Amino acid sequence: MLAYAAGEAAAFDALYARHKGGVYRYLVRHCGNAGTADELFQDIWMNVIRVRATYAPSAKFATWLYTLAHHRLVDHWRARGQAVLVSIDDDADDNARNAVDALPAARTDEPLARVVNRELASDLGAALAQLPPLQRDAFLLQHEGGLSLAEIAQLQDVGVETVKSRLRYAIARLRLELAAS
Amino acid sequence: MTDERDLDDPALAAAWRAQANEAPPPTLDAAILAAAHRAVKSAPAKIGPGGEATRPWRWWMPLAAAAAIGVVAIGVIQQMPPAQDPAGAIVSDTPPGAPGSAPAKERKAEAVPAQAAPPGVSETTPQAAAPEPAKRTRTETARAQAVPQAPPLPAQRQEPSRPIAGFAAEAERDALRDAAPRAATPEPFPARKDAPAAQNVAPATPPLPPMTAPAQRPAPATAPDTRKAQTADAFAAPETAGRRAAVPAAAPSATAKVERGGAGQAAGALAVPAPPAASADAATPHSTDEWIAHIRRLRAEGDETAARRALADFRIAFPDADARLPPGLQAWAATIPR
Repeated sequence: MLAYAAGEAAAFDALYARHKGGVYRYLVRHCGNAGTADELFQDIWMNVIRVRATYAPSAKFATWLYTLAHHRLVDHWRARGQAVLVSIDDDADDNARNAVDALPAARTDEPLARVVNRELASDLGAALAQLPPLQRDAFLLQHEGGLSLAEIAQLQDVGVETVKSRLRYAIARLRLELAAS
Repeated sequence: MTDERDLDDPALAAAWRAQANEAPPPTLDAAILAAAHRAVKSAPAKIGPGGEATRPWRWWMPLAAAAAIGVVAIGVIQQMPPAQDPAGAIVSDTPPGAPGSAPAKERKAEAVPAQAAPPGVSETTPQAAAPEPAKRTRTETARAQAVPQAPPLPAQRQEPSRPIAGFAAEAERDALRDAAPRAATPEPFPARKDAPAAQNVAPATPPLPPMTAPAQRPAPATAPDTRKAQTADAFAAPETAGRRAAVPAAAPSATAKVERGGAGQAAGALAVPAPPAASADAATPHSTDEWIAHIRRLRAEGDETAARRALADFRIAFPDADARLPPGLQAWAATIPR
C-alpha cells in the first residue's frame, strides 16, 4: 500500500488481486445480494484509492482493509434500517447461551471432515446466512480475511473473549446445519 | 472461557474454502483498477522508478524545441538578402536626371555654412555647367564624406584633422579635388584606365596645401604660416592657372561646388592642383553598384581587358565580389579566374 501511495500502480494491482476475493465474499455473505455486494465492494476499494496518501501502516493491510469493509457494511445496514447487530454477549437469552455451551467441540476425525463436498459447501453458505450478523462477521473475518482473534476484536471493538464466543457459536451452528444436511 | 481448539475446525475451513469461489465481476475489477491507475497518474510524478513511463517524453522535448528553433533561425538567415556594402547602401545610384536626389539635398544643407565666403569664384570658373551633373557630383561628394569607413584605396590620402574654422574651406577643397578630374571626363568612371598610373604617382605627390587664401581673408589662428605661403604660391602659379583653364566647359560639378562653397574659397581651391591620386580615388568605384556599372560599361565598350581588370579590382575591394554581381555578370565572372 505504501508503494501504491508512492505512485506505483502495480502495487495496487497486487493488493487487489490478493484481497478482492475475500472482501467480495465477505460482502456477499453479509448482504446476500450480489448487486449490493458489488456496490459496497466498489465503494470500499475506491475508499482505499482515495485515502492512499494518508495510509499509515499501523496494522496489517488486511486488517485495515476489512475494517473499511466492516464500517462500510455497518453504514449500509444503518442506511437501510437493518442494523440489527445483536451480540450473544449482550443477549439475555440464557437458552441461546446454553445452546452454545452445549455444542460439541470440533474434531478433525468427525464425519464432517469426510463428507465435505460441493453440496455441503453450498449448504454451508446457506447456514452462514442464518447466523446472527456479528457471529457471521467474526466468522467471515477469520476465514476470509485471515484476521486473528485480536484483530477481529479490535475491528469489532469488543474483547477477544467476546470474539471467541461469537466464533464458537457460529461454528457450532454451522456444524449443526452441515450435519443436518 | 472458550477453548481455542473449538475455533479451529479444519473440516469446516476446508468446506468453506470449497464453496468460497465467488469473485467480483470482471467489469468491476476493470473499473476499480482503472480508477486506481488514473489516481496514480493524476498525482504529481516523482523522480525515480515511478516516473519511468514519462521519462522518455520529457527527455526529447528540449531537444525537439532546440531543433525547431535552429531550423527556423537557419531559414530566416537564408531568406535574408546578402549584406550590402555600407557605402553602397548609402550612395544613391539615381540617374543624373532624377529629380530631388536626397543626397544632393543633404549636401546642399551641409554647404550652408560655407556660403558665408566672399563671392567671385563663379566668375573665375567656367559657367557652362549643367545643373544635373552638378547634382551628381554633389551626390558623390556626399558619399565620400558620409562614408568615411569605406575601405581606403591605395592612392587615397589621409588628411589630418583641421580646426573647425577651416571646415568650410576643407569641404570645398575636397569637393574640388573630386570634381576636377571628373570635369575632364564626364563619364562616371573616367579615370579607371589611368587609375593605376595615378596610384603609382600618388605617394610622390606632396601634401595638399590648405585651401585658405590668406591674402583674401583672415586665416584661422591655428593655421600654420608655412601652409599659408604655400597656398599663396599655388595661387600665383601659372601652372595652376593653366590647369584651371584646361578644365573644360563641361565640368559641371566643379562649377557647382564653387557656387556652393563660396567664391573666395573656391578661388583658392581651384588654384590647388588636383593630385592624380585624388582623381583616381574619385574615379574608382566605391560601392557594389558602381563597380557593376563600371564593369558593364567597360564590357559594353568592348574593352574586355579593362573589364577583367575592373573585375579583379572589384574582387580585391570586395572578397565576395562574385556573389554581389548580378546573374548576367556572375556567369561572365565565373569564366575569369581570380
